[in-house]
Amino acid sequence: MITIEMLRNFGADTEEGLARCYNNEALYLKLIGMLPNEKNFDNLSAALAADDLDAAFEAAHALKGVLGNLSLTPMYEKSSQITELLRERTRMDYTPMLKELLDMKERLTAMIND
Amino acid sequence: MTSVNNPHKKIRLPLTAILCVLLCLAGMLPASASRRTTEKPPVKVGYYENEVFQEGAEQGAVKKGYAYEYYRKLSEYTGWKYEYVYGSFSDLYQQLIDGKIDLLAGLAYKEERKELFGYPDEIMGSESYNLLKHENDNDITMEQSTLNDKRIGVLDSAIVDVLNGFLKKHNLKASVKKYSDYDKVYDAFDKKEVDVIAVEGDGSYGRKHAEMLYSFGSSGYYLCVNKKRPDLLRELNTAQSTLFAEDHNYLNNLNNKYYPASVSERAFSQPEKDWISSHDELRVGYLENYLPYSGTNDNGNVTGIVSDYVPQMLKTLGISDIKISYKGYDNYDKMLKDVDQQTLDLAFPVGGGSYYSEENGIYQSKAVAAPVIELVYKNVYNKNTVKHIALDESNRIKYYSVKSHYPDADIILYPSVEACLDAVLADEVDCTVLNGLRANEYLKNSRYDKLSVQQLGISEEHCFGVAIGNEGLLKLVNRGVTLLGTDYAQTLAARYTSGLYNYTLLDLIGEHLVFFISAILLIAGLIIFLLIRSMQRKKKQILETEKARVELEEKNNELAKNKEALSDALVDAERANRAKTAFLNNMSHDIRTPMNAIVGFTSMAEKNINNKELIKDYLNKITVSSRHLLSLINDVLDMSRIESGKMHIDESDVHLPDLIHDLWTIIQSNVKSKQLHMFIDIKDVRNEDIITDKLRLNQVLLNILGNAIKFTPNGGTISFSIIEKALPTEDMTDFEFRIKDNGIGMSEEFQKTIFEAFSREKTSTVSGIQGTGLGMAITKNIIDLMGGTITVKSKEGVGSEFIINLPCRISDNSVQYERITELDGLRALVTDDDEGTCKSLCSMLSELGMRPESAFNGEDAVKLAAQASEQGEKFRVYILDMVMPDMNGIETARRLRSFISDKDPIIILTAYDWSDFEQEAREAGVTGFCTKPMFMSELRSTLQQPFRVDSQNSAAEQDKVDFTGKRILLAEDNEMNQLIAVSILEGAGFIVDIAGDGIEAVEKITSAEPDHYDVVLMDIQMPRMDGYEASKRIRALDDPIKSNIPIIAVTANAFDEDRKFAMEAGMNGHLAKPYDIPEIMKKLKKVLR
Repeated sequence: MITIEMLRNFGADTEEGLARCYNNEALYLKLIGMLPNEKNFDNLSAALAADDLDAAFEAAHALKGVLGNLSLTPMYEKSSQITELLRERTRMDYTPMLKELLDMKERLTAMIND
Repeated sequence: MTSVNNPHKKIRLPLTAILCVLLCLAGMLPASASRRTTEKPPVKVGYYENEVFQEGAEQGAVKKGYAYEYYRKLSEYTGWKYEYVYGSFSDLYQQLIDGKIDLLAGLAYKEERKELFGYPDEIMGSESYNLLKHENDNDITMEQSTLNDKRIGVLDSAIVDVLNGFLKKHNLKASVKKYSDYDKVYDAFDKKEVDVIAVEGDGSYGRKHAEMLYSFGSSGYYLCVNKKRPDLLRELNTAQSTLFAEDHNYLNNLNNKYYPASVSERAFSQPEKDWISSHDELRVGYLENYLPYSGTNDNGNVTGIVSDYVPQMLKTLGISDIKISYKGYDNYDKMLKDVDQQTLDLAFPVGGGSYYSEENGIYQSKAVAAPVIELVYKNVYNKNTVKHIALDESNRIKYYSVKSHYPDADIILYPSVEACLDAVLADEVDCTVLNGLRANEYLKNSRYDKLSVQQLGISEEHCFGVAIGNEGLLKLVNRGVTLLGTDYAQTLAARYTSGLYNYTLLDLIGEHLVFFISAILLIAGLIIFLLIRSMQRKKKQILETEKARVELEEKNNELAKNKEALSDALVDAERANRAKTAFLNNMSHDIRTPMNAIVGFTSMAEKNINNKELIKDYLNKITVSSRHLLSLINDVLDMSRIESGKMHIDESDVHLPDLIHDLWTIIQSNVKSKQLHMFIDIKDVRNEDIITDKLRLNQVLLNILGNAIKFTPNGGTISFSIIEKALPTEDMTDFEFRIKDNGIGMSEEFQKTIFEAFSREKTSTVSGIQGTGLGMAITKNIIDLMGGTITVKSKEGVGSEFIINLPCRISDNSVQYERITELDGLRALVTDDDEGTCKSLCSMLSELGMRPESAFNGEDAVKLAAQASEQGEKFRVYILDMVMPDMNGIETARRLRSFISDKDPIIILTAYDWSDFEQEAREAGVTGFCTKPMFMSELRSTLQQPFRVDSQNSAAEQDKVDFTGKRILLAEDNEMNQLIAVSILEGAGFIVDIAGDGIEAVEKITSAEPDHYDVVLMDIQMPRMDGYEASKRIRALDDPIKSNIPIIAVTANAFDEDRKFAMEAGMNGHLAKPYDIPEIMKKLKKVLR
């Protein structure tokens, strides 16, 4: 079971995240718990694999919103970085950045499922 | 010896002599001056009489001479107008030292004089130094070694150094005797106390017994400048170097003009003497029929230039015992042959260049006359005109000259000049060549009317010819020609050219009288016939002429129009060029201001490298200035947009206190360095958050403040007032910015054009206010675009006031002030020597619910506080200005702290960085610091701190309660975000309804009751239909209540363009993800108000 403490160690700004949920810890953790099912991670991976930068941008942009609202700072920052590059439709190899993002998601998922 | 006081003697005075002799002379002429009233004060030239060098040293006298012509020439480059100050040299020399005159000519360079007056880089002329010996002294010759062991007399002057240098260089051992003036030098020479004298220039002064040896050196003399006028010296240097660049030979030519006989010393050289002693007759050969040069008159006597020139020449040379005989020649070659065979001494005229003279076995003397050659031709001149040239076969001079200049031409010889002209008329040849002195007279004859004349750039030298080897005679002739000068022959020529052809015509008429009478009758008949015919033609002609005239006029008009258009284009191009220059100048001024701040704060940071707090503050200030600099550079790119009217205003939320403090940060260092007093007043400012173009407003204010600083002398005062004037509308307000200085002000004329674009702004340079032209034009442009106005009041020497009125929208972020209950009714004491600051602070404090009082100095403040304590109603807040006369803020605080409670806050108000005195102030009992000018929000937060008012919590709680029962439609596709938003909104009391995309949102609004939803929170990026489109559709609904529902956009990024699109789609506000709860509440509160 994931805790505020673990999230804080993960790098999340839990104070901000909790404030957004009116300090309702259960709600915040519930929302965090929904993250592994967030479809935009898959959308982003697929769009990048298909070299569809338009779709990739949409997915990254949506992810950025979600991660920001959850105050998952490290993931939010990485998604922002990807989003800004994709906003300009920059042609480049996104694999390393995507991998970093997905690795963080896996770590978080592991904590949630533990 | 020539005396300086005798100006009539035709001898050129050596300059050094004048200097040395006259310095000792007492009787000085009073200096008189002629004054002219001109804008630029005239340059005062010391003008002393000196033969040839500088003549006419009297009021109204005609001036001439080497120096005079040099002054005139300089004036062409400097624009100087002269005022001549007359006097003796020594008198003027003293005046130059005293700075009473500006220029004095003819001074040699001496190290010790450098302190007394200014020397230009270049000389104005140079003087050559010569050695003279006794005529009959045969020990001394041109061979330099003969000077060994001889005695050389010299004036104790600059010449001594040159002489010693010369002797040393040639390893000569002679004794040099120095004399204090020239009289003594010549005296010693005359008494044979010295063998040789070293003098300036010719130097023999009519001494028959003095013979010139050779020149041993020269030295330059200068036009010196009054030490107090470095400006004139600069101008003189520029003029001299320009003059040199334009005419390398100017000084040489000037020297030749005024000192042509510089080598013609009166004493003849050895070969000349030899020639004179061995001859008692000068045999002169001349060309017949060669007037004006030479010819034989009716009496069989010689006539023409030659007949006057030769006797005059001998007379000038002082040779009286030599008889002159003449012999006329029809043939040039024959004449030269006689010279070669020594049966003739001189031939005249000869010419054609040295090559052909050598071929003919003669020396050519210096030219007696050198008229230009004129080309006579028919039809149109072109390069073929000189292919076939007709020449008079008897004129060898011409033949050789033409051959020298046109080596490729075919020369066809004719027996006479007339035959040549006829040949041209008959097209047998292309042209002929006439001597300039003769051409006009020939061509007066009407039968040559069809011929044209063109002056060639070639002069044809007419000289004396002397047999090769006859060096003595050649030197004598050259000396004579030089002495007589070139003008002499020219004058003579006029006498002999007139009537060159009159004779022939009269003669002709006399000889054929009968023929002429019948010819006249015939001509008369012909004239009558022609007259009648011409009258018939005249009518027709008039019509034709008129038609041609009209056509011509049309063409002329067309031409004039084209010319005008061309000149307009030129004017435009020039204006654009000027504009570019003005623009560059202006930019550098604007860039310098923030640059100074960056440089200044960087060095301050370096000094305080260990104080983290300070460094942070400085870095902030540097950042502010850097940003401004960057924006300025962007502005350069904007310039073209301004010009073409394409600049746009980029509005955003602006927190006015930030803007004003940033401005202050930028200009602070300039204000400090000029020791200006700057007052910034805030009056009635209720809305600190406005919507405007921050960059532009900053630019406008900075520009005007920058000018105020620039044009206000050190120690002056600038006041900057920010006044809010309430407008009747709820969401609009009007700010007035007044910037007033007591600087140099502007002329009324300049005020009229100050806001005009630079291209039309002409007065800025005239009025001495440079660089404002463009700045104010930009300022005006920007203010116009922002919908504001700018006016200026100014008076020259008194100061200027700029007033900007700027209407602007009040920002959604605008804070609503509630009373701070803790402060209610408490007394506050404001102390500032500036009444404006006191008033404005007091009115703000009253608004906060406090009871303020003010004191204008520390002493009063302490008294008031003491009284209040005694009366039992003490002040609870003290606000003290840092800089006050008599007692500053810290001292006042120390005194107050001695009897007031430790809890009561004392706040120091300062316009400057407080790091310097923070420690001292804290020790004196100061609790806080505030930057001037103080805005309401800043005053509140400053006061809240000590009274521990937690406004944020109370505000948040207030927000939370407000929305109970309100319905909100949340359009959001992402499930996670939905959950978060719902939790926030429900927490605030909202009833939340969710739409998964734009289409769904529009459907929900359409199908619901008109007042079902209170507000829509619209995500922008959604599948199927995005937030913009959905909003547009909602706005397009028929039901006015539905179509006017507040919509707030939510996006994951807060770019300006997103905000802009949101506004364009008709949305009421914009929120950025991730959600910021207070921000959301504020926005919602605003739209639901």
